[in-house]
Amino acid sequence: MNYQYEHIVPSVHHVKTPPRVLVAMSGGVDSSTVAYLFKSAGYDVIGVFIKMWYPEGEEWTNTRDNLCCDISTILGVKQVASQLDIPLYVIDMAQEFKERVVDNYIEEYEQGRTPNPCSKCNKFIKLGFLWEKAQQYGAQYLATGHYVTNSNGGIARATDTKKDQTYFLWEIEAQVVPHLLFPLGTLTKPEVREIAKAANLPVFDKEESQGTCFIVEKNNKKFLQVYAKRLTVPGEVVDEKGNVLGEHRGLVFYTIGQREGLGDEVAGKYMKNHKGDTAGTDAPKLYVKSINVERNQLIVAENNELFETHLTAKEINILDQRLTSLIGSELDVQIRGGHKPDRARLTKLDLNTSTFTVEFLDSVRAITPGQSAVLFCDGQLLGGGIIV
Amino acid sequence: MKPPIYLDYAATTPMDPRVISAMTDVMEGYYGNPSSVHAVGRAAREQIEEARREVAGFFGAKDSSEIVFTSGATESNNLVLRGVVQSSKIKKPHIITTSIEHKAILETLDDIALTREIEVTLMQCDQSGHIDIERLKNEIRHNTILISVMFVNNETGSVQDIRGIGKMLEKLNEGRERAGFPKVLFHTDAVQAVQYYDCRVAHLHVDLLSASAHKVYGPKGIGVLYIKKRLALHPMITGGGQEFEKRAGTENISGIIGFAQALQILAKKKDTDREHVLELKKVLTKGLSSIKGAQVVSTDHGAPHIVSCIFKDIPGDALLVNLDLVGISASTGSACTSGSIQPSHVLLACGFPEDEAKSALRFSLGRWTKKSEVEKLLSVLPGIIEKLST
Repeated sequence: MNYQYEHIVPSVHHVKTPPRVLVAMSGGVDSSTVAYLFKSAGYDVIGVFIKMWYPEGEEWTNTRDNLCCDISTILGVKQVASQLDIPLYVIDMAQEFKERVVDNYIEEYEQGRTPNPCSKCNKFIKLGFLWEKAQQYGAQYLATGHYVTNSNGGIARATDTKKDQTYFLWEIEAQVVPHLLFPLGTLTKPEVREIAKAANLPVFDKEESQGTCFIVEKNNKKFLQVYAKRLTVPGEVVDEKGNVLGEHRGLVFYTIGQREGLGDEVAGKYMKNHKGDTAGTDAPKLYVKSINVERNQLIVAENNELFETHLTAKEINILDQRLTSLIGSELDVQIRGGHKPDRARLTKLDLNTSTFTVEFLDSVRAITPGQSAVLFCDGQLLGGGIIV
Repeated sequence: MKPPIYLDYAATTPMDPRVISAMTDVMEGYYGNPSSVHAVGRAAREQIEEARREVAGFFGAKDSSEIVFTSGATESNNLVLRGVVQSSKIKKPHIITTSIEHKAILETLDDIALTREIEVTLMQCDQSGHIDIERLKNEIRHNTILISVMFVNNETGSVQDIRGIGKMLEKLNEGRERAGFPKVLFHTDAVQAVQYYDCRVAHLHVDLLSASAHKVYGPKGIGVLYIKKRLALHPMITGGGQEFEKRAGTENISGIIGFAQALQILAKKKDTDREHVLELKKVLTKGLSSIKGAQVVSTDHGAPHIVSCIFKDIPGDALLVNLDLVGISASTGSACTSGSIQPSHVLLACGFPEDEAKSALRFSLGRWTKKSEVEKLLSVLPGIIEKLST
């Protein structure tokens, strides 16, 4: 049979000892298609399914089926692997995942920051531990179904901008990058489904999994109520000057930039403090500007106060060495997942303190500490840091 | 691809062709429901009861009604624990078992504890995997109703002195009866012992014994529980009264016939099978010991078919995968449904540190293992280990 995906994964059928590639398989259409592509291109393919951590206990009993790591999912992956005639190994990384990703997630929230767990997972688990395993299993490459492209020896944004996942890859070790293969970066989701369907993969129309994998019912607040109990204590709502405006239900229920849930009382007090006697005028809309965990305070402000021009990021990681020579230049900076990057100037990059500062050309709204600030140049991923 | 070199007989054994033909014969010839009144049913019943007598004979049961067929040793173990607890009139019964039991015991006890008050003592073993009888005796309390000890450990091959425990208990029970304390029942999970050890219940002095067909060249899905006559054991599965009201449901005729046939063959081959695997175990143990960093955990006193070995600083899963990729089947511990590669809980319980337990592989041998296959393993292992140590 002639191979029709040469433009996606070049064939290695002519190679005497084809390279071995480890494919991280989740049971979804993306990673199944990746395994199929490498198998058809003639690679020596090994499939691996990673068992991640998920919350256990009475409050979650009815939700286990929603998670990615239950037995029926594993059986589904095994079915795909056996159809493709590749060996599949299940690796239990629950403990590592809990320590590296989940504990960090909870800790960050408890420090008043909004973490990026997928970035940590890619760094430590999917493209960290798994690359170690790939080497132990004799593989030269590790492939995943991430929507990012291999470009110029590094990583660049995906063609399908809606699916692009580069934002979550900034933190991975630079030395691993040459061993990573991302064949889906130049495809759109419908194209991937098309390939899967043509290949008779039973998962071709499988529903997409979304959100953070260990957050059951997609209910982050419920998760944090259980795991970050200290954030469920009610406290003060204050304005930027420290005037007390009311009471919040617990910091866990609020995120920076959000409006709802603050109530009329807060707005009324704010009016009195800021506008004097303004009977008859509408109360201004108030938003969460920042969170002070030490004082258990929620700081609110009017929308225009949420716009800022600078951000500083710490714990930086450089994936493209050009970054160090770009101080003073304009770059694209993405400050949250699923957002379009904003133009900004890199004003400072200090390797000793592992920080950088950028100045946005237009001010941006709700810069959130704990989220990643990821730097791009013409779509190429340069690196990033954690917003302070 | 060449057929794999199978070194995982402790997980399951290939079936003996004679077992397969006995099973297909009975499937073709005896389709009746053994509980039916008519001739077709009666013929099926006759087949089952003959097989039961055969199995009873193998285990030296006084009466074939002491033999209850189950779906496997996991069910047998469940039936023992759940049945004994449910039949007990004591408010808070006490059970003693060991930390190196199969999950069918350990997880079942956890499950029982969710709905019924019980006390459980887990005996620790020494690093060679042995339970001390004197210490076991000291753990017995006035409310102890059951002691369950595995005969041959599935992961390390360590063998317990079941007969010694049985005799000790018999004596102790005489005194308890006089004092009005409940009898301490004695159960052994003999799954890995059936092939190579004397499993006659009178010899072992046990009240209950679990075994499984698929570890002795028989089919999967059929097991047995020996239940000493007049022992009160509440059923788990009800609705039909089959198996002397200990396990309801229409009997698995072909499985039962296959099991009986496998035991019949085993009875004749026990000695030659044993000599065969013992010879291979020597070759394997010697070869492994000469590999740098390898420490064979299984001893000469252990089961003849199980060799567990720690490869210092080498991840067990990587060894397992690399062997699999060159067509050699081994394991890191007992098999679990998801197939995820887990360190042996038995080695951890025996006091080996976690990093060593994570570096262990189990090889298990059987009737059809060839010397050349063991040699092949020994020839590829050093290369794999060298690759993984760099």
